[in-house]
Amino acid sequence: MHQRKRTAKRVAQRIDLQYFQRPHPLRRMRFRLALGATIVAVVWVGWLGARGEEGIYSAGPVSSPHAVFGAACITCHVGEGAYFKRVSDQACLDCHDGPQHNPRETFTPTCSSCHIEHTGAPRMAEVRDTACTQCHAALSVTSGQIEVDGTISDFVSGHPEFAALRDRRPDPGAIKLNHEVHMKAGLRAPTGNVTLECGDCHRPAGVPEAWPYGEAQFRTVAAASRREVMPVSTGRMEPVTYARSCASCHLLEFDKRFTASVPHDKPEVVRAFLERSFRDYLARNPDAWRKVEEPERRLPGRPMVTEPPARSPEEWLRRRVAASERLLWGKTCLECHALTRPAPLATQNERALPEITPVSQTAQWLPRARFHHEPHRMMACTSCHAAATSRETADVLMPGIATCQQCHHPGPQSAESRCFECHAYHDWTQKTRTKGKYQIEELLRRRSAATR
Amino acid sequence: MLIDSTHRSWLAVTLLALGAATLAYVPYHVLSPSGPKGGSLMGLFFGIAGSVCMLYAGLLGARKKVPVWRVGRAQTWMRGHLWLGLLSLPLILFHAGFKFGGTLTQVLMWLLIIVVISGIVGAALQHYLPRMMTQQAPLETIYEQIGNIRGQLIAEAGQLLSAAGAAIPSSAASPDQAGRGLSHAEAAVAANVKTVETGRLTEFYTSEMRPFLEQPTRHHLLADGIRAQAAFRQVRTLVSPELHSVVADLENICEEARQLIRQEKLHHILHGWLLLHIPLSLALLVLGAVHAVMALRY
Repeated sequence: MHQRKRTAKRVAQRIDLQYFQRPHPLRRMRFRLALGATIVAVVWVGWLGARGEEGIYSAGPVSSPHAVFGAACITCHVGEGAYFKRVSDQACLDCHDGPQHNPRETFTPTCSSCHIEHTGAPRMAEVRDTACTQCHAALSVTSGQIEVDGTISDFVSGHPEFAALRDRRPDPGAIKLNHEVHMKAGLRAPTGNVTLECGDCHRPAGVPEAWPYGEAQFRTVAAASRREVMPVSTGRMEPVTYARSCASCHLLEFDKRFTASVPHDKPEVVRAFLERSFRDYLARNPDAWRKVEEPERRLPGRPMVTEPPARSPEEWLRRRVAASERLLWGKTCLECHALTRPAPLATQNERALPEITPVSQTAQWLPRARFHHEPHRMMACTSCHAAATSRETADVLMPGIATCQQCHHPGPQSAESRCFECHAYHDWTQKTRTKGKYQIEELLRRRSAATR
Repeated sequence: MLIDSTHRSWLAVTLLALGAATLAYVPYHVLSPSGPKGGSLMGLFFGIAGSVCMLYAGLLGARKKVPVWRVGRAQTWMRGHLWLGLLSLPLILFHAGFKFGGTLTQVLMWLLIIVVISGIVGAALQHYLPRMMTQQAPLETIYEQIGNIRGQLIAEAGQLLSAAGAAIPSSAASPDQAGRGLSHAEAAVAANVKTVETGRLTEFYTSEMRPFLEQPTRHHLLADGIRAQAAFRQVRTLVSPELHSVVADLENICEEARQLIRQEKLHHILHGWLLLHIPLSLALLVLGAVHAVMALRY
């Protein structure tokens, strides 16, 4: 049994009463570390400040296009002593143009409220949907009617059907076209049986290929098509033209004496061509006008009668032109076009020319959006456009929003679905030229001054 | 400090504040055209609120320097330090929009995270370890006195041996080596017997116990209670029952020394985290002030 007695007095008597005057090593270490950390922080900031380096105060990495400015914050940010001041729009407009979105908008957001810098993003144009929905979720204008849907929240759940399909309006095109027939296999063509592909008639601008079913000049020389080519950047399909897509199958023959077709042009041009052709033929065959013309085909609504011989070359010319025009206006052109004639066929005033209803081919089905076929080139045309079952020109073959939403929706395994992907905020039709102000030497000097 | 039911009101206020902040943040994050930014109105609000919490937490150190000043109760300061310090992290995250930003803001965010996590760890240690210390080291003393107490234990052991008639060859403090009042003859006889037994005791003391008392290490024989018990049991077999009380006292001294070791270790754990927490929090406050000024400039 131990005899050590531990009393409060004995315990208290053990204590060195001056101990608090000598800091324990642990306390000393704590004090030194605290002092050291404070000094390191102050020295770090002070040293960088003395060198004029502002990079540490950056809110994040700048976007790739702005990286050329290095750490020269003053390029966009206001300089000395300017507290509580944001990057002004003028700082952006020094290099960029930003046309007004809509003259009837109730307010104009600042550049930096939509285009967020210091996130390291490669494209500052990729703005959040909220930048658009701050207005378009409950749209109001300063005057007049609202022409678009005013309650748009996002692409998947809050976006209306595309305007082209919304009211079930028919295709306004006046060309008679049956896609189903054209997409059948083994179509009869002058060169033999063919099977058409979508790309034989429909092609985005700038694709340097021959048109296999166009006029001879287009079948071998793709550059000839560039006269009518839209700017490459639009990404839309080039308008379908007879010369590029139809000519080799849909011949405009008019008389057995000639192998050539009439030009695919206005009726007055066609008539002039016919008259010239027959005059040239008479010049080469002076006795042709005396021969009796045998009927070659039964024309709709006309009995098969043998025509009496012409009394003069002029009469023969008139008859031949009239017969050719009857064939063309009555059958050939009617195959695809809607014609309006001022008088019935082969009665009074056969000299009156028909009027061809304008084709009204819609060049852009999404006037308020940007669509580019090039990023979609891996898709089969029929995956979006129901052409294989279309028989009427009036069929609108634009895909609906549901087709796009299958790929374009939020989430990691999906295509981009934010507003900027299809819509532009700035009205680029009002674009103005930006006057560049930097010289290379000045830019490099500013950059090196900021990082010295 | 124990985190007990007295913290309930602080916990409630903190949770309420966090809930209100979250309710304000979520629509701000979702609906803001440019996304959450520190310089926006809401961002500034969160930043100021978080900074106020951090400042309050930081002022605890200053408050401790003037304990006699009646600037609120120490408990209030401590509880505020805990709960407002904890609240500062989500507020600053809301301020930053959960982005770490550029160089300075990244440093600040990591400092804040480390400070808060070390604080949470420290609070947990402060909650559990004192009780553990009381259980494992009931003979604890003031931490800064441990060295002094060890010296006194060595002196006490020397005294015990001297009183038992042992000759202590070392320079260990032994204030009273005069021994007890025995007659010369008896002392001579007793000394003969004692010499052998105290020699064994002395040998044990000089070879094992004193090195352990002077420089205690965990690996020493006497550092382990069970092994020490066995050692002393063996010593008891080597000495007469008259010396068993001395052996018991020596054993008790070793037990006290072991408790001092445990106390030291627990104290290091209990306060070691402050070596990280305090310096980093000071750096956080300094750099945070720099950030507040410079961010408003840009």
